[in-house]
Amino acid sequence: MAIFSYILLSLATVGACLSAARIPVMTGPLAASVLVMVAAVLLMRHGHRRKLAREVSGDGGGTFDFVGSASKVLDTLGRLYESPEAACEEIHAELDRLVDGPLFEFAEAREGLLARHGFGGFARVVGEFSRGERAVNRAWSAAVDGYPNEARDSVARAREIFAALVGELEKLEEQPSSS
Amino acid sequence: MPPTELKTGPYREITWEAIVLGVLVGVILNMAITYAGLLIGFTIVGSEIAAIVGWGVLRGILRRSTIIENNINQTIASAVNSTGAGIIFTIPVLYIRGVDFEFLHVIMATMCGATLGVAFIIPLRKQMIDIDRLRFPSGTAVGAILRSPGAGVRKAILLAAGIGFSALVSVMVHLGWIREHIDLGAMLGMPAYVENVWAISLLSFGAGFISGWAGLAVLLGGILAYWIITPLAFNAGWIPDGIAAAEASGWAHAEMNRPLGIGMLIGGALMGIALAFPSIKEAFRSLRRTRGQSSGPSEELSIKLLYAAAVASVILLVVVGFTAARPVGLPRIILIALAGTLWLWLAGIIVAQCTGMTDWSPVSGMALIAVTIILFFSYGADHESGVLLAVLIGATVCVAVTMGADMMQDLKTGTLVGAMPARQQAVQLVFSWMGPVITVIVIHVIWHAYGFGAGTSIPAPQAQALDAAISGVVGGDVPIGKYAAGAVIGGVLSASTFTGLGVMVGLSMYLPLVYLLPFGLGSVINVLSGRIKDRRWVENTGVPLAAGLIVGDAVVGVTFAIISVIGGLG
Repeated sequence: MAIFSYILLSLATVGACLSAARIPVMTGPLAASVLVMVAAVLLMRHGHRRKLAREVSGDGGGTFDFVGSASKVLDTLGRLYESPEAACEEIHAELDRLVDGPLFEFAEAREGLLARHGFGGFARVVGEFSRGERAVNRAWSAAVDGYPNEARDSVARAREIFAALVGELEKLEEQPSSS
Repeated sequence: MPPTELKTGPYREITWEAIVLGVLVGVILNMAITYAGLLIGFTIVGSEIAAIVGWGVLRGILRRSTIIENNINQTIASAVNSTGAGIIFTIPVLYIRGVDFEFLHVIMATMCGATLGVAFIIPLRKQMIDIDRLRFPSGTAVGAILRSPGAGVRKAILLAAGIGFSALVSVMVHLGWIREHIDLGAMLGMPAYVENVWAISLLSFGAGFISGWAGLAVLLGGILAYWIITPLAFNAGWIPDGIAAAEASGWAHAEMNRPLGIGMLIGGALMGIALAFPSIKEAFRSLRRTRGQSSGPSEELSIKLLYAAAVASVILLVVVGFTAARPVGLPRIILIALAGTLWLWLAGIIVAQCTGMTDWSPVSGMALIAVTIILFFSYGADHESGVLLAVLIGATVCVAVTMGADMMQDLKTGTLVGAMPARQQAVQLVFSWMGPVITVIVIHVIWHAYGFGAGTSIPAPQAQALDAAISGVVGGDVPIGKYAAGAVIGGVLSASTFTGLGVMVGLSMYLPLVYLLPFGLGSVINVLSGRIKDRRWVENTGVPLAAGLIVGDAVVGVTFAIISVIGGLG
C-alpha cells in the first residue's frame, strides 16, 4: 500500500502542477488532482501509522532501547564526573567515543519516539536530548582547548540533563503508547 | 594524542578579541558582498571566511583562543555581513524608480528588520535545531572548521582536501579557465526547451550531500518543473509563439513555475506549522522551563524578548511608514504594519526551514510577496507613497529573514561546538544594527558613483526583477491564481509523511535548475553511500569532505568579491 500511495501522490502532484502551471489555471483538473493527492496523503498517513505501530509492538523488528541508550550516556558521563583527576585528553577521547556511539545511535533512531510517545513526548525527549548533547559538545570543546574545569562543569551539566532524560523516558515507557 | 596545554581561568567565550575581529571581518565582507550582489545578483554569507580568519588570528597568532570564542567571532562577523542580501534585493529599486525618500527611513526600517530577525528566531531555534535537528549545511560546514583542532587527523585531512579541491575548481571557474556551466542537454542532443545545464558548483554539491534526503525532494521538484511541466507546456502550445525553444525554459520558470513555487512555499509552510503545533507548543514550554532553572547560566534569551520585539516592530513600522509615506493614511499604515509583521514571522519560518534543509534561502520570493501585500493594502493611495512603503517594509522583511536564517546557521554551528545559544543571540542582537547601516551607505555611494540598473556597470539584477514585479503589481498583473493553486498543492504535500515536502518541492520550482542539479547529485550520493556503506561513514567521512567543498567555494567567491571591490574603487 505504501508504494501505491507514493505513486498515486506523485502522479496526482504532476497533474495538479500541470493544471496550475497553465495560463490561466485549469481549475477543474486542478481540483480533481488535488482530491487524488488528498486521498494519497490519507493512505500514506494510514500506512505510516500502521508501520510505526508495528515497530512499537516489536513486530517490525525496529525497536530501539532509548532508555538503555540514554543510560549508557549517563554511565559514561557519571564515570567522567566521578574522576576529577581525568586529564583533558582522557575526557576528549571518552567524549569522542560517546558522540560516535550511543549519542549517534539515539539521534538516528529518534523517529521511533514519535510512534511511541506522540508529538509532545517526541519533542520533550528530543529537545532535552539535544540540550544534553550540546553540553557534551561544550565539554568536548573545552577538553580540546585545554580547559579542564570547564570540561568537568559541562560534563556535570550534561549528566544532570541525561539523568532527567532517563527519568522522563522511563515515565513515558510506563504510560500506554500514543499510537 | 599529544598532551593538551592546560589553561587556567574562565573559558574564553565573548572576548574583546573576538568582538573586534568579528566586526572587522564583518564590515569588510559586508562591503564586498554588497558590491558583488549588486553586480551578479546573488550573495554569499561569509561565516566560513570569518571562521577561518578567526582560526588563523585568534588561535594561530594570539594563541589563546578557544573553539567557542571563534564561534562568537564568526557569529558577530556574519551578523554584520549577512543583511546585505535583504537590502540589495529591495532598496536599489527606490533609486531605479526615482522615488523620493529619506535616507534615515531606509536605515530605520532595515535596522528594525535586523533586530526583529534575531528576536523571531528564538523559539524557532529550539524547534528546528533541537527538536527537528535540521542539517543547516553551511552551519555544519563551519562547525567542521571550528572542531578541526580536536576532530582527529583523518577528519582534518578530509576537510582540508575538500577545501583545497573546491577552491582550486572555483578559482579556475572565476578565471574562466574552465566553464562555469556544462550544457549536458546540448551534448546529449536533447531538445532546446529541455534545460539540462549543470553549474560547476562544488558548494551546491556539498550542500546537497549534507542535506541528504531533503535534497532528494528538491531534485524531484526540479525534475517536475524543468523536465516535465516545461516540455509538456511547450509541446501543448501553452508557451507564446514568439518564445523560441531555447528561451522556453526561462519563460516557463518566470511565468509558470516560479509563482507556483512561491505559493507552494507558503502553503507548505502553513501546513507544516499546523501539523507541528504540538511540537512548537513544547518548544515554547521548554523555553520557559530552561529560563526558570536556577542552576547554571541561562541557555536561551527570554521569550519575552520575542513578544516585545513583535510589539516594537508594529510600532516602529507604523512610525517609519507614517513619516515616510504620510499620504497613505494612519489607519492603513497600522494595518500594513500588522500585515508586515505577520508576514515577516511566516517568511522567517519558511526561510529558516529552507536553509535548514537545503542551505538555500528564497529571500527574493519573500520580498516579492511582502511588496505585493503592502501594495494591495495601499491600493488607491498616492502611487509613489505606496511604492515607497512597499519597498521599505519589503526591505524590513528581507533583512529580518536573512538575519534570522543566518542566526540559525550560526546557532547550528554553536550546537555542534557546545556554545550557549543565549550568548550567541545576545551578540547577534547587539551587532545586528551595523550591517544595514554599512550596506545602505555602500549602496548610496555606488549609486552616486556608477548608478544602477540596465545600461550601467552595476546591473543590480535582483532589484531590476523586483522593479519589474512592482510594475506588474501596480498594473494589476499579479499571478494570484498561481500563488493560490501552489499554496493548496504545497499544503497537501506537506501533510504527507515527508516533513516539509511542500516547502522543498516549492523551493525547487522557484530556484534555477542549473544549481539544483549538482545539489541533487550530492543528495543522491549521500543516500547511496548511506546504503552501500552506512550512516556513520556518511557522517564521519562524507560530511567533513562535503563541508570542505562548501568552505573552499565560498572562500574563493568572497575573495573574488573583495578583489572586484578593490578593482571597482580603482
